[in-house]
This record gives sequence, structure tokens and C-alpha cells, in this order.
Amino acid sequence: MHQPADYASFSRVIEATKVLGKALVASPERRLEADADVDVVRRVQAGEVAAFDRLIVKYRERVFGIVYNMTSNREDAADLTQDAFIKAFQSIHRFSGQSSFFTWLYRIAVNSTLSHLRKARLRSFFSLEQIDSDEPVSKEIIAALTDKTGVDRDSYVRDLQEKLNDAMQKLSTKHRTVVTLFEIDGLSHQEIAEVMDCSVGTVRSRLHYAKQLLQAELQPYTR
Amino acid sequence: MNQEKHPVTLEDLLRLKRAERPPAEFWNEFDRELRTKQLAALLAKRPWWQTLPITGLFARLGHHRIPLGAAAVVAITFLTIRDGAEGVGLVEEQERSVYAVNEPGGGSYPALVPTVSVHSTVAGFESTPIAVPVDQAVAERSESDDRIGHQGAVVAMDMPARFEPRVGAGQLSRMIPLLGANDVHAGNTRIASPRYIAANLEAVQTTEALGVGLLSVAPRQGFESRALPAPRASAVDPLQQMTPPSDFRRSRYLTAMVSITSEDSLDRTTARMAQRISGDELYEQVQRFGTRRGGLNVKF
Repeated sequence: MHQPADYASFSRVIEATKVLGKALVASPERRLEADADVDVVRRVQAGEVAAFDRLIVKYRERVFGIVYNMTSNREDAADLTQDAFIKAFQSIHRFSGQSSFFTWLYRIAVNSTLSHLRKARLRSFFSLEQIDSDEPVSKEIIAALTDKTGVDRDSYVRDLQEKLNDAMQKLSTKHRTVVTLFEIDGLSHQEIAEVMDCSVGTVRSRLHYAKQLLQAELQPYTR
Repeated sequence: MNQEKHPVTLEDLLRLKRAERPPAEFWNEFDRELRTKQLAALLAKRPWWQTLPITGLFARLGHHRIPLGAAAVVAITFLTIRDGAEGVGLVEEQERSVYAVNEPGGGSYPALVPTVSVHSTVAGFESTPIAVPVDQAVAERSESDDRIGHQGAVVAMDMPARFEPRVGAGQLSRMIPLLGANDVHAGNTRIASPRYIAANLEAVQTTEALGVGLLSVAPRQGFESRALPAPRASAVDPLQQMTPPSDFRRSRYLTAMVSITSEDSLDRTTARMAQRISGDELYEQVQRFGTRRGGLNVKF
């Protein structure tokens, strides 16, 4: 069964529209998450310490992903993620619900990571995690990258990872944070502005500049 | 289904980063460490400043720091301007105090005189403002001066003699015109007579003389010792000890004239002129002068 030739371009437009909408405002899923978090936070504030574990299990991978992509080091990322949860636990009585819990938690994690990167600017050891090849999106991208070249897939993916990591490390910490929050974690511009305590315009400007640099660095891989 | 493959974009490459995940064993270790840290945080005593509720207040106020800062600046500016205006008003009020002046007929009337308001409390006695007619006040002052001068002791007194007007019911109508409230009792308005003005002037002069006498005769203590210079041992006027610059200049000119008119310098000057003039020039100049018919003849 053949579909019209412009189906791909049409679906790309639809996807771009979704991405644009997501970039401007928080998605409905995020809002539902935020509403659910408020109840858990109220219980923790009331003294039910065990309820905080639900928040840890829910957000640990996402917080770790942000910190890991900012530091490119697994041990540092683990420590900073744990510290972010401890700080959030200690200060949860100050959370007033003006922003969503994950925005508040992200802000703690991002600020801790930026502070850590300022202190450890000279000593940076990078460690790369394995790409989950079972995930459909990554599987498709890797296939698109390796099919035409015909090279060994594992070594090619390893080189690509290193190149990506190098390109990310060439960005400043703030630009790297914006790229991480937008492209990797999928936050909207507004949410990033809340996390980083800056304007939406600043977020867009940083994102545009960072993408230009990354595009120049990763030009051989984009075709 | 045969879909056309779209090119790999930068976003696709960054999406690969999203797929970088640690293995499952990592999360077991992560949870164990986090639990340990959480228990330690529960047992650890928090610093006192984190337990204060004011910390949260400051955090909340931090969101409105710009309007709060602007309001603080406006408030400080307002208070500064207001205090400055009050200070000017106090000075003006001190300069125009109402004094009671004794009328030759027996009553006392208010007078506007400049004053220096200094209240001093000396030797544990607290001074209180008194309201007396000026002549009585002057008499009391003289007695006070005598006491101070003879006994050398300090008697409690109000230094600048800030007199409160003693006003009776019958004297109020006479005070009002002088205070500028003529329209209150337009029918009973009395204008200050030259006699009153002369009395006021005399009172002012007496008060000034009294103040100078008090400050100069009495032993200096407290304010006086700080405000007035100590008496000098020598009676020579310092201005007389100074030499004006014109004297220096005049003496320098006189010295120069004396040196010019001295014989030694005159001989040196004549010899220098003679060296500059050659013999022909000297002869020629001499030939130009001659006598003819009893007069002086000069050839050009």
C-alpha cells in the first residue's frame, strides 16, 4: 500500500507544530503531573516522610539525566542528584506551590550542578553511558546514520557519542543547560525560564546560539 | 509501507543523548546511598538560621526586591527632606523668640529679639526656663554673676535666658498686635509706640551685654570651655607681630638701589661702556659737540 509522496513532509509539519506548541507552553501531561505532585508534597509537609519516596522514584531518572548531560560524569551526576533530593526534602516546608514541584526540584538540581561546575572547572573527567539501543527512536536514528555508511555500528555509535559529548562540553554551562532541558528533557521555554530564573527571550536566545554551535560541530553527522 | 527516510538532524542526534541511561544495577546503588543520606539529613541538626521563619519571609520578599528598594529610597529621601525642613524651622524659631520686656509703667510686653538657645545643666542641678520681666531678669542675672564670680561655685541657671512670656488676661490684647494678629481684635488694635521700640532695643542690648559678660567673666566650664578660646598670656596683638608683604617689597627695592648707586658698580659700568665704543666713534661723537657764540652746538 503506497501513500502519497508528500505524506512525510505533512507529518513533519504536524510534528513541528507539536514541538512549537510544546516549546511555548507546558504540555497537559506536565500539568497533570504537577497536580498529582501537589498532593504528595502536602502529605510530606504534613509529616509523612515515606511519601517523598514516590517523588524520588518518579523523578530520579529525569534529574539524573539533566545532571549527567551537564556534567558528562556518572559519579558526579549521581552525587548531585542525591544532593538535590536531600535539599528538596529538607526544604519541602518552604515549597508553597507557586510553581510545580518538578520545576522547583529541577531548579535545585540545576543550581547545584552549575555551582559544582564552577568549582570543578579545571578537573573534568568524562564517562559515557551506553545508548539504549532497544528504544525505537534511537534505534531508528542509528539505523539512518549507519545504513548508508556501512561501517561497524557499535564503533560508529561510540564515535558519535564522543563527538556529541565534546560538542556539548564546548558550550558554556548556561547554554548547555538550556539545550539539555529543551532537547533532551523536553521542557518548554516557559518551564526552562522558571528553572533558570531568566526570561523566555533569554532562553530562546541561548537555545538558538547553542544550536548554531552544535550544528557547526556535528555537521558531518547531519545529512 | 514504504516511507521516505528523512535526513538526520541535530535534534535527532541530541535525542540520542536522551537514550544514554545507566544500567538497572546503578539505581539500586543510587537508592541505597540516597536512603543513607536522607537518614543522615533527618538526624543532622540544622543551623539555627534555617529554622527561622524569617528566612522564608526574606525569600518571599526577594521576588519584590525592585519595588521594595524603590519604596525604601523614596522613604529615606522623604525623611531626609522633612528633617532638613524641620531643622530650618527650628533655627528660624530660635531666631525669633518672644521675649518679655518691662514697660516703664509696670507691665511686661513681648519683644522679638534674636537669641542663642543654650540650655545647660550644671553640677546636678537642672535648669528650668523662667518667665520674668527683663529688668528683673537682668537683676537676677547680675546677682548670679556675683555669686559665680565671688564664690567660684556654679549655680543652677538657664544660660541664654530663654524667657517665656508672662501674659495676663489683660495683657493679651496688647500682645496680639505685636504677634501679627491684628485682624482678631481689629477694634482694640494698639500699635507699638516708639517708647516700646526703644525699650525693646534697650532690652536687646542689655541681653547681649549680659551674655557677653556671663561668657567672659564667669569661670569657663562645659560649653564655654569648648566654645570660647582660652585667654592668651601675651597682650600683643597677633596682627601687629606680622610684617605686611609691602614692607618686604620696599626693603628689597631699597637694597637694589643702594647697590646700583655704589661707586664700585658705577666704575664697572663706565668701563663696560668704554669698551663697547671704538676710538673713531668716540672721536666723532666728541667732534659733534662744540661751542659757538657762547652756546652749545651739536652736529647731526
